[in-house]
Amino acid sequence: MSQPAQHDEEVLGKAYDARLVRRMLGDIAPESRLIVLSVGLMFVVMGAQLLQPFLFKLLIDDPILRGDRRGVTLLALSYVATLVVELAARFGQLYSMELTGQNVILRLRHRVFRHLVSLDSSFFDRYAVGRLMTRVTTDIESLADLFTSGVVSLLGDSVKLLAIVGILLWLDWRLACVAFALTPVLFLLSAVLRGRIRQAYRDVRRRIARINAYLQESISGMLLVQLFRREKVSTKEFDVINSDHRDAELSSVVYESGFSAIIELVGNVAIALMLWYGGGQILKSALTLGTLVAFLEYTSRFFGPIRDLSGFYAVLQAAMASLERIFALLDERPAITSPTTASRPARSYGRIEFDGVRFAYGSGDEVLHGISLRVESGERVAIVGATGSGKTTLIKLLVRLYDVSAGAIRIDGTDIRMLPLSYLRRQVGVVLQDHFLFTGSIASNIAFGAPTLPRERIEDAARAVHASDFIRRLPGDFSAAVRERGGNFSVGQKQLLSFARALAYDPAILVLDEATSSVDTETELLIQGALGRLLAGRTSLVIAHRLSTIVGADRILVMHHGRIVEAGTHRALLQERGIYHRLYQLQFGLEAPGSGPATLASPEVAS
Amino acid sequence: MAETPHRVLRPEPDRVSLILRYLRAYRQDFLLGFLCLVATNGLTLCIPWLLKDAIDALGRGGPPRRVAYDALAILVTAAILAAIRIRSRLHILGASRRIVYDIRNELYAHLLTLPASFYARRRTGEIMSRAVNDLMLIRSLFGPGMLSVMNVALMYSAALPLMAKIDPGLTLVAVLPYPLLLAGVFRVSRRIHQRSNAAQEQLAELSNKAQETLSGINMVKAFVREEGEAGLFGGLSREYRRSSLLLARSRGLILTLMRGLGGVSTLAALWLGGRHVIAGTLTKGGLVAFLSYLALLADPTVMMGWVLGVFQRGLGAIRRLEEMQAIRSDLPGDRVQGAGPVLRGSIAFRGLDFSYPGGGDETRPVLSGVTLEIPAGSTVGLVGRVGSGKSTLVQLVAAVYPVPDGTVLIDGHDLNVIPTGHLRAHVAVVPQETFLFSKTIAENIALGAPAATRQRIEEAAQVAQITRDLPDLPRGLDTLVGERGVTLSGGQRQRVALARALLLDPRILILDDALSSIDADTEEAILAGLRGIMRQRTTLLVSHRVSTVLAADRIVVLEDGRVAESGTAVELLARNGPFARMHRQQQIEKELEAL
Ligand SMILES: Nc1ncnc2c1ncn2[C@@H]1O[C@H](COP(=O)(O)OP(=O)(O)OP(=O)(O)O)[C@@H](O)[C@H]1O
Ligand SMILES: Nc1ncnc2c1ncn2[C@@H]1O[C@H](COP(=O)(O)OP(=O)(O)OP(=O)(O)O)[C@@H](O)[C@H]1O
Ligand SMILES: [Mg+2]
Ligand SMILES: [Mg+2]
Repeated sequence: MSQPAQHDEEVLGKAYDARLVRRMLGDIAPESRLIVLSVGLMFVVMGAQLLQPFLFKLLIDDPILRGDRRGVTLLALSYVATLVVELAARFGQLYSMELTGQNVILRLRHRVFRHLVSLDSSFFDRYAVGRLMTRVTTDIESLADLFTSGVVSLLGDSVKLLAIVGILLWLDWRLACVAFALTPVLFLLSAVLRGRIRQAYRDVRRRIARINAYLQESISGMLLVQLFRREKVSTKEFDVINSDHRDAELSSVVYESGFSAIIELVGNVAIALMLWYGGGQILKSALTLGTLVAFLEYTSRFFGPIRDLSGFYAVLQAAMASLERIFALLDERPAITSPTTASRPARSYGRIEFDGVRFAYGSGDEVLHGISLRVESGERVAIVGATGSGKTTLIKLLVRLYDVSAGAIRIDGTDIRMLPLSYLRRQVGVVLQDHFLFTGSIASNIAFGAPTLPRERIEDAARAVHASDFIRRLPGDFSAAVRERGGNFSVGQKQLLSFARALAYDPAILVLDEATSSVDTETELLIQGALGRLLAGRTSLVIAHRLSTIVGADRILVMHHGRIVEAGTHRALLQERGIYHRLYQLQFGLEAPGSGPATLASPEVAS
Repeated sequence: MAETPHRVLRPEPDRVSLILRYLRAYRQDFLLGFLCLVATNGLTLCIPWLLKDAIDALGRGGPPRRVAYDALAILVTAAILAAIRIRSRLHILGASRRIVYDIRNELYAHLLTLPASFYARRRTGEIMSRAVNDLMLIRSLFGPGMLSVMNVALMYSAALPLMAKIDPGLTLVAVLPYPLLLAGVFRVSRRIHQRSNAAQEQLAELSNKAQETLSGINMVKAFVREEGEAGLFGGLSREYRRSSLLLARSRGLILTLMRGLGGVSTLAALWLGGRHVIAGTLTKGGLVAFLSYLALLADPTVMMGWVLGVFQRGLGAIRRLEEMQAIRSDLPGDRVQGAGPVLRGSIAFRGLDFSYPGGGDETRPVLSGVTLEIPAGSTVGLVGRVGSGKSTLVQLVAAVYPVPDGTVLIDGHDLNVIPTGHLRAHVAVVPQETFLFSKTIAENIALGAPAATRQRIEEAAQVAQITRDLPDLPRGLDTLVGERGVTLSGGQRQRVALARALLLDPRILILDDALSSIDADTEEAILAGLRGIMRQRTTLLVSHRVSTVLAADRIVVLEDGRVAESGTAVELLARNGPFARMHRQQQIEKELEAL
């Protein structure tokens, strides 16, 4: 499976990518007031902090010299004042920044999720759920980090840096040149290291993604891992990916530590250089001692912010990589969309037409080779055929989970691609072969497609599929809890609930794909009794391997290798003596030349 | 959670024990890291001292060489400093990464031992959150958290004696606010603990929702629920935002408090120190030095606030992990040591009562009084209505859930005294619901026997009639099947699961409605291959098709968890009970259709 790189954890993420930031600005803009407030408060904090040493100086130079106790108290009080202002502003600044971040990511998270659910099924065939989930969780969280770790203090740091550069140049430009002589070295070194760090982060991310995917699958399939005694193998496999991740982490630690230590080193080298050069100048009387001391003082402050900035780099880098993955996802266009100008007829009559439909999943081989069929309004059509012959695929095309590669599907004479998606899917109620229940209650699952459905209708639907018998016996009957994927129900019960869900949806066209394959015949017969009434006026498509399920169909289609090979009434097909006849013989144990009945009998026992 | 203040001041022994356990396991790293930190702190102080020396020399117009030497000394010190600084971080941060690796391995190994009842109660997202988010918190605790704790401790232990040397009284006053404010800080940090737990839970809810919606995406689309699900997700995101903001408020508060703590100390020193200077008990230089020490402590103090948060959250994560680690398998067989008896495959149920553990409906019996004798090598067909307990019964043979002593016997041995692993080596299950791993078809077939030769895999695939579909699959047996096997048809998946079980060559073969998604033609071909295989082993065959079980040595009809009747097909048909009724229903259909 070849995957486009942009969704991968591979995305390198530049530390700063103007294109991404510009896109993100759209989400940040509504918070501009909060940001301005935060920046303002940051300056208040900085101001208060600058004022405090000045107060110390005043205290020492003035009241203490004069022995003025009241003066000492007064200055102490003004210190309290600056402290209170600083604390309040600091808290406000932190909180407003957090608020900004949370607001921004709330909006973005929602947008990403909405976008994700709008993408089509072929997209979901390609990407594991665990991966996609990280887009709305971890990736979004790393953006939040960006805000809380202080984009604002980044601004402060830059201001500080600029101020220091200005002051140094103003004090003595030659000495300033010596002080800055090392900055190119710094840039060069960090450019080299940054490449490495980025690579290391990329490895870390990719490997943690692998761990997560592995864990997720292990947990979902734990019973099989245990039943097939794969514990040892799994432990080994897990250890391999876990230690890979650890190694990537360790090398990122190496680079990270190296990076911050080198910045410190360069700072100290600059000081030594200045001392050596400045000392010479002083001895030549080209420089005063005071200037040198001031220089040394400022230089040490110059490298502080640089170190902070480099610490921030990691966060920024992670955020950019996340942002890039998020935007790549947002750029993914759903291949299946509603037409912009679409008439929305009232309820469908339920006439379905497949016209020369061809289809292949993704870039794979063709699965359906020119299917043409017509289902009249109110007709009941059954589809049978070998496994893998394309029956389920046909259904997926009908509700546009995928779009046909060639040909067309029409409902009431209109190409389904010209119908609004929600209208189309509102007309067709499906029980998919892969039944799926959601965490919640029985009632919430039956009313899944129609959340406002009154209780009686929910109960009606359950009664029609004879699920009410077992539901009644559950604690809390219709409000009984349904666990993840319906884990606390038997497979047949899950199918019945999925069936009830489709009935409660009240569709014009009902599609049942192996809806009762795990339901006993007795219950099935009861359901069929009820269905006769329920199906009146509806078109239905029933797919089943068990021929008893399709009893009473107006017409039966037999699929084979992506083609409809036989079609007609039960009787006509039996007379044709083709595939259907053979399936029928096999299943009902009637004499069929050349093959025994579908029982487990060793021939001698079967007699 | 009603926590007393002491809980936080003195975390429960077990939580601390985990921290201690790992500190001890990596004591060399932590010790060396600590020594390196001592050295870096000392060296950092050397540089200003060298500077001072040089400047003094310059002030005296002293020898130029002295200045040059000092500059050189700074260079050398800086180089050593950088080397040691790197080492300190490598030791401590490196240890934190290794610890996380260890814990993650331990956690995974533990997860492998936990029984089905555990996984029934927990949602996948919740367990994932332990292994991902909580480990991140623990990493912060052992890495940056420990690093900062050591640094802060070093700073204080260096600065306090120096301060006390200048003015003991003033030092006392300067540290006086600490206990007072610390009480407040602890209160806030306890709130951080609770709020961070709450936020973590919200985040887990959020991921659960995302996971479920995305897993059931086809259902969501078919029922036009995109908007609705997005709305629900939006609600959860807003909840999460709210709890994150609450947490942020506490964290902001604690940072502010810590900053205030430094400020109050400074204030005390300023006010009292000023008076001391006036009184002449302290020199001006002394006061300046004192204040600059306090300033030096300001950052570490703020840092302490952050570290407290890190520890609180880390401890919360440890508690959650330990809770999970404390859970033990509820299968008695998992506690049995030794090799286990030779198994031939006869099964006996003796008055078996069963209800699913946990989840609130413990009292609902799923099986009651099931008594059956199944000789080794025989085939038993299980039929019964939806929810009658067929799957439950056959799963119990593979020890998926615990059963009372003496109710299930394999070859006369109580199931509870057979080591679970040993038992499962003799049992192969084709579950009613197929789960495939996102590997190739061949790898899925070889799930239980990774060392199986290609030939055996192909044989199993042949019996399960997967070979029929190979031309349709892009890479034949080496086709990747996608998550849970989504890129295969229902019947293809089921046949892969069948081949997977056949490859194990088990004594007991359990087919739980394993051919439900397969057409009669393919079924016939599969059964033809299975007949030979089944003759040599005990087979439990669950099916809704009467015809499929008709020829079994014995047919058992379950009704509401009880054995309604059992016997050969001939006997049961003669008895005219439920089985005969089922049979008739299918006959009636047949006759209707044959008209
Ligand atoms: N998502 C997918 N991606 C790629 N190939 C697929 C996908 N789903 C199905 N196929 C392939 O398309 C073919 C038809 O599958 P489909 O599910 O339509 O069969 P089916 O007739 O419903 O079979 P069954 O009776 O087993 O359910 C199969 O060969 C299958 O491997
Ligand atoms: N994990 C579980 N937790 C709680 N209850 C369960 C669990 N699994 C099944 N049940 C309940 O136990 C009963 C028996 O379920 P079981 O799966 O054994 O039925 P079954 O005979 O296999 O049905 P089917 O024909 O539908 O497969 C059902 O009422 C079901 O709701
Ligand atoms: Mg299908
Ligand atoms: Mg079952």
